[in-house]
Amino acid sequence: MYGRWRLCGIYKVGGYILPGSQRLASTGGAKIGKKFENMDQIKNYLSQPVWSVREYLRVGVKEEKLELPSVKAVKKLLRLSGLPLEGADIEGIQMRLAKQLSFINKLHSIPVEGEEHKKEYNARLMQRKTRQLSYAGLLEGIRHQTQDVELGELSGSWKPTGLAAESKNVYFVIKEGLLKNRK
Amino acid sequence: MLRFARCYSLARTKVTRNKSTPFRPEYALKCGLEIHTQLSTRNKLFSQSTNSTTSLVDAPNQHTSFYDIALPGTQPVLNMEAILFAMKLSLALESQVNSVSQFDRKHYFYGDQPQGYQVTQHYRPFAQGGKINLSKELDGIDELSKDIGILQLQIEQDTGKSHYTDTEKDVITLVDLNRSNVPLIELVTKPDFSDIKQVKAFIKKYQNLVRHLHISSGDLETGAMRVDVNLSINEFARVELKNLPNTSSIIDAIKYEYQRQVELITGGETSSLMEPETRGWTGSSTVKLRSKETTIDYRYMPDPELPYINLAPDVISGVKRLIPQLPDDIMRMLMNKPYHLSLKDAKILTYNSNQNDMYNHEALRTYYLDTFCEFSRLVDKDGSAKLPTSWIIHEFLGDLNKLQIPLTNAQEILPPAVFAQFLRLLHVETISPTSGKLLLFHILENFKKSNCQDLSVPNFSKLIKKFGLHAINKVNSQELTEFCNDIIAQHTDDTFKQNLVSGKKKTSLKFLIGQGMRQSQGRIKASEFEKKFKEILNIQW
Repeated sequence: MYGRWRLCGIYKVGGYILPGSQRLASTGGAKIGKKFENMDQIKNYLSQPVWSVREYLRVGVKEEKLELPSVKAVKKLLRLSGLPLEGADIEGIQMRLAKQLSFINKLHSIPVEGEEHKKEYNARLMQRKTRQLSYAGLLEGIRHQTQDVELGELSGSWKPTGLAAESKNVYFVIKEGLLKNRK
Repeated sequence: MLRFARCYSLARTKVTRNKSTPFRPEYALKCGLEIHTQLSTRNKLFSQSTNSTTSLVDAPNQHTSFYDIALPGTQPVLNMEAILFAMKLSLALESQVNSVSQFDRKHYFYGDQPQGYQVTQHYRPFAQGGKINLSKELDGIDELSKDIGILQLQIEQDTGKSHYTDTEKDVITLVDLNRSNVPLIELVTKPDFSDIKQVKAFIKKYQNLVRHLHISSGDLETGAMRVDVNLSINEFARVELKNLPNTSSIIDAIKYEYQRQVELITGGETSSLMEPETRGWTGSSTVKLRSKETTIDYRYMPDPELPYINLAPDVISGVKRLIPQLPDDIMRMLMNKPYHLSLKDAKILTYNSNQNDMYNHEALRTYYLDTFCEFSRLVDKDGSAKLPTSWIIHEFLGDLNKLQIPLTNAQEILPPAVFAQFLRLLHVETISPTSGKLLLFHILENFKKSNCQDLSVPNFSKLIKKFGLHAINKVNSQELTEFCNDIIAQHTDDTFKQNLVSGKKKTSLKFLIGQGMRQSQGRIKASEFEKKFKEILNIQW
C-alpha cells in the first residue's frame, strides 16, 4: 500500500527532514497520457471519476439492507461533534452513517496478517518506520527554530480575532450556550 | 484513566497515623497525582509562535499562529526543544524513555480548544516508570524513606484560557488562545501516597526539580504547574479531584474528600463510592463534576499528521550529559563534610523559590562553594565551616535584600577570594562579629550609593583602621570593671540583681552582656563581659 504513497517533508533543517508535519501525497497510480490541448480537455478529464468505492467493495451497497444507527446514537454523535441538533437531517445522517459503517465493516472484514498490523497505535496512514532522531539532529533542530511570519508565528504580526464574526477586546467570543446546555 | 482504574481497585494499604491530619488507620487513604507542567521552551509545541513567559500581562491572542487557532489547512511541526525537556525530566526521574513514542488525538469540544481535539500521547507515551524518593531526613515525612512511583510521562498541548463574563444581556465566554499549543508534560504517579505530608513533600520536590532542570517555572499560582488528585479509601472506587490552584487547595481538598468519604462509609451510604467520579474543589468543599455515566468519550486516535518520535540510542546518552547534579545529591553534599550545613541552609542553596529577585539559588550556591574553598585555603584545615555559612547565607544575603543589590553586582566588589579574606579577619578575631556586620554593611551601602558602579575592591585594613573597628583583645581590667558597673547602674535594680544572682532569671545576664556588646560596638568579646559581670555581682552559678 505504501508503495503508492510518498512522504512530503515540509520543514528541512540542514537537509534533515524534521519529524514534524508531513502530508501524504498520492500519485493515484496515474500514468502519462496525451498532452492536453485546451482547458475543456482538462475539465473533461478531471470530471471523469477514475475509481469508485464499489470497486473495492466488489458487491454493491443496497440501501434497504443497511443497518441504520439509532436516532439516539446520531444525536449523541452530533453532540460530541459540537454540531446543532436543531434542524439536523437525522434520517439523512442515519443513512450516510450507515453507508460509511458498511464501508468500514468491509474494511474490517479484509484479513490482516501479522501482529504489527493489528496494533491500535498503528491505525493511521503514515509510515511506521521513520528515520531515527539522533542527538546531533535533536540539537540542530532546536538551534534552527525560526518563526515564520507567513504562518502567523510572529507575535502581534496579525490579528487573529479579525477573522471572527464576533470578538471583544481582542478576545474571541463564545456564547455560553455553545459550551453548556447543549442537549 | 484506565490505568488508574486498575491500580486503585481493591487496594488496601496501611496508613501511617499522622497526628497533624484527621486520617484514621481503619480508613486507609490511597492517593496518586496527575501533574501538568508547562514547559518553558522558547516556542510552542507544534508551531514556532512564542511561548510567552509573561502570560499574565500579555495582550490576549498576541502569541497565536494560524496553527494555534486551528485555521483550516494548518499542520503541526514538532518543537524539538520539548523533546529535550521531556528527556531531561524523564532521566532525572529515572524513567524508561521509550525509543518510539507517538502523538494521538483526544477529542472533545470546548471553547478554548479550537482544533476540537488535544494532541497528546495516549497509546505510546514518551516515558514510563521512574520514581521520586522522599525521606525523613530531607523531606520531613514520617517514614525513613519512601519511593513514589511514576506511571508515565507524556507530552501534550495546553488549551487556551476561558474568561467567563456576565454582561447585562448575555453570558459570554472570552477566549484567549495565547496558551493554546503551549507544551505540557503530564506526569502520572502511582497511587503510592498514604498521607498529606508525602503529597506536600512530593509537590515541593517535583516543583523544585523542574526549576532545577530549567524546563519550567513550576509556579502553581500562574498555572505553569497544575495538580489533580486521585483518591480512594479502602476498597472503594477512585475519586478524581480537579480545580486545585495551589498547595493549600490540594491539601484541603484531600482532607475534605477523605472526611466526606469516611462519613459516607461510617454512615453506610457507600453506593456513591462504588463507581469512579470526578469532583471539583470550590475552596471549601468538593462537588461532583462527572460520574461514570457522563464520562467523556474522547475517541482517541493516532494523529495522522505527526510521525512517531523515533529516538536513536545516542539521544539518551547525550542528554544525560546535560543533566546537572540533582537536588537530593546537592543537599546531601552540603549537609555532610566539609560544609555541615543545616537542612534549612542547604535548602536555601538548593531550592529555587522563584521569589527573590536579588539572587538565584544556583548563583548563591556557586558563590558559597567558591568562597568556602578560598577560605579553607586561608585557614587551618579544621577552620570553622560555620563562618562561610552564617556570613554568606545570613549576613550577606540579608544585606543584599535590605539594600536591594543583586548578588551578581555585589560579586563584582566581593568576589569569593575577597569575601574569604573578610571571613579570615573574623576567624583570627581581627574584628569582632559586630564590627564585621558594620563593615560588610558599610561596604555594600557605599557600593549601592554609587549605583553599583564603583567596582573598586574594598581595602579591609584601611576601613578597620578608619572606623576603629579593631577588636580589643587585651582589655584593661579596671576600665572594664568601670564600664560594667556603669551598665549595672543604668539597667538594673535590686530585684533584677537578686533574681539574677539567685539564678531565678539567668537570662538577665545575657541582657547585660548584650548591653556591654552594644556600648562597646562589639569590640570587646562577650566572654569578657560574662566573666566581669559574674565577678562584680558575685554570681556563683
